[in-house]
Amino acid sequence: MNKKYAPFMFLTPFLIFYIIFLLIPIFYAFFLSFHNWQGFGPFNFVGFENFLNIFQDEVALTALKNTFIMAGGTLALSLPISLLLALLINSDLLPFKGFFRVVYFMPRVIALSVSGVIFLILFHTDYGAFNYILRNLGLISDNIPWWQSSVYGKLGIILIRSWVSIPFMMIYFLTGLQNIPVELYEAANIDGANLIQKFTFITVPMLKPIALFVFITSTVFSFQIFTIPYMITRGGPSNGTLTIIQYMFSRGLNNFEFGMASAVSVVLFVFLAVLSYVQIKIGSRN
Amino acid sequence: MNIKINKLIYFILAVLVAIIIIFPLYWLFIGSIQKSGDIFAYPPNFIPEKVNLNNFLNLFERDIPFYTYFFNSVYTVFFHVLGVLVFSSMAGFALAKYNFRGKNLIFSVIIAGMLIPFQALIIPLFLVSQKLGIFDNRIALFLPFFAQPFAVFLMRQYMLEIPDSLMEAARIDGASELRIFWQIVTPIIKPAFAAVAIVDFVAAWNAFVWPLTILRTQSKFTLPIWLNALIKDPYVVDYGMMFAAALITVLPILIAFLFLQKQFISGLAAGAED
Repeated sequence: MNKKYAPFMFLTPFLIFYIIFLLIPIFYAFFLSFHNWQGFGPFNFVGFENFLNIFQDEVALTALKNTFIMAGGTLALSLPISLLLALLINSDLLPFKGFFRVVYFMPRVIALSVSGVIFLILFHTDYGAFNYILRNLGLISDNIPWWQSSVYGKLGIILIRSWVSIPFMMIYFLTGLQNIPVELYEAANIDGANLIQKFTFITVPMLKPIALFVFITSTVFSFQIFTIPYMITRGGPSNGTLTIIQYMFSRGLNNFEFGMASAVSVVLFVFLAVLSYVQIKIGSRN
Repeated sequence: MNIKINKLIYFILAVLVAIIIIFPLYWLFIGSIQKSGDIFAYPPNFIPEKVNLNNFLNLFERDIPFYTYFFNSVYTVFFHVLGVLVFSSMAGFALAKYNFRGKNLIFSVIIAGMLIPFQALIIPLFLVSQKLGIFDNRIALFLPFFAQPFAVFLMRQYMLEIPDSLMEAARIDGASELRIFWQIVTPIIKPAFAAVAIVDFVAAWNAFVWPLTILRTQSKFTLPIWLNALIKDPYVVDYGMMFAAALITVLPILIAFLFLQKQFISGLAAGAED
């Protein structure tokens, strides 16, 4: 192989797959989102009608609202907890750090489908161990109908998603903590700063960039939520846990409304791509 | 003295958190080795009285035994990982070690692919797969994933470190470009191969949305969507068996994780599932 043509030979196989399975599909989604198409026949151009339909469809708005609640809830719960866990694991006072790091990371490797099976039963209304524990701790007096209520359903999904998200957030915070120069704390010690002062004036400001990065990455991750609610509640009861992805899924793959489904894809793509772009910018700055 | 007490408090706290985190997995484990109904015993048995492996034996006696799904998963993951390693290392090599026209443009376009959330591709990818005639075909489980921008990015990053003099020396000795890649570059970037392989292995083994989209015939199912089918099946109320199936699904990853903790943690911090 000649040196002049070598790079193209090395690149071509990748580019072929890249074009067929990434570039064409994403352009196809944009194209379809402006058309009505049932999977056969001609494409009917409809302009922005599909996009307008999304924001006028009761079910779509419910799915959007649910997704925001579940993603927001997961972030609100798992960001502070993962920071606390990172602080705990990073502390010089903790023995067996390596062991705890491995244990805390474990949920990250568990398939979401497996988590779905576990929590379906763990959160069972009458026989679930979770309700049993809550009752014995005196936190509730009646069993919570986790998967029969749209409010508790969302809460249950937030809890499961937090269990899944905390490990990777924690690892990032841990890296952030380890990158803070020790000299800063030493200087603070000389000045007689206490633990809380050190946390507010050194740890928090030094962690800001990584916290922003974790926040955006988790948002991108959380808005694509699908597997857990799909497996456990199928989006019910009465669309109470329906996510935007499941909405797209049923519009496209059950109803064959590929224009509508693509419009949802495009909205999702634009929203998350902007977030990812910001994330990459932040990432490359650090 | 004070420090000792603080240490103890930290340790107890850490153990409590560990118990909360591990509990769901522990529940899965004991649920699968108890008699099927016992998972719903009330009050729950937190420590099983008797070990019972019937749940696992039942998995062999289904119309489609569990090893069919297990094989499908192994088959998918094997080609998934192999394809990603081969194509991304080649592309990464071209972008790291050669100068040619349009290089920066191509690199930017590939990196832009990292902005695309997979869920946004499901619908059009489904249509493209149909056109290509790979709908409901196990090939569709790995073929669309051969082009992974993040893998190219990582490979290129590693290869930038390789000194050009090493390649020049080989060229003077008359080695072809392919041979340079194969005999000089690939051994050096083994850590990059390992990192990409781990991330891709976990992603492919745990994949849910795409297999659910593209497969219809149950005998082609991978483990995760078989679990989904078990949950959905109104005739299966055998939760013990469901737990056994879930345990089998998670065990290979868990074992690999325990052996390769460091590599897993550094590699997987980045990626995320749906």
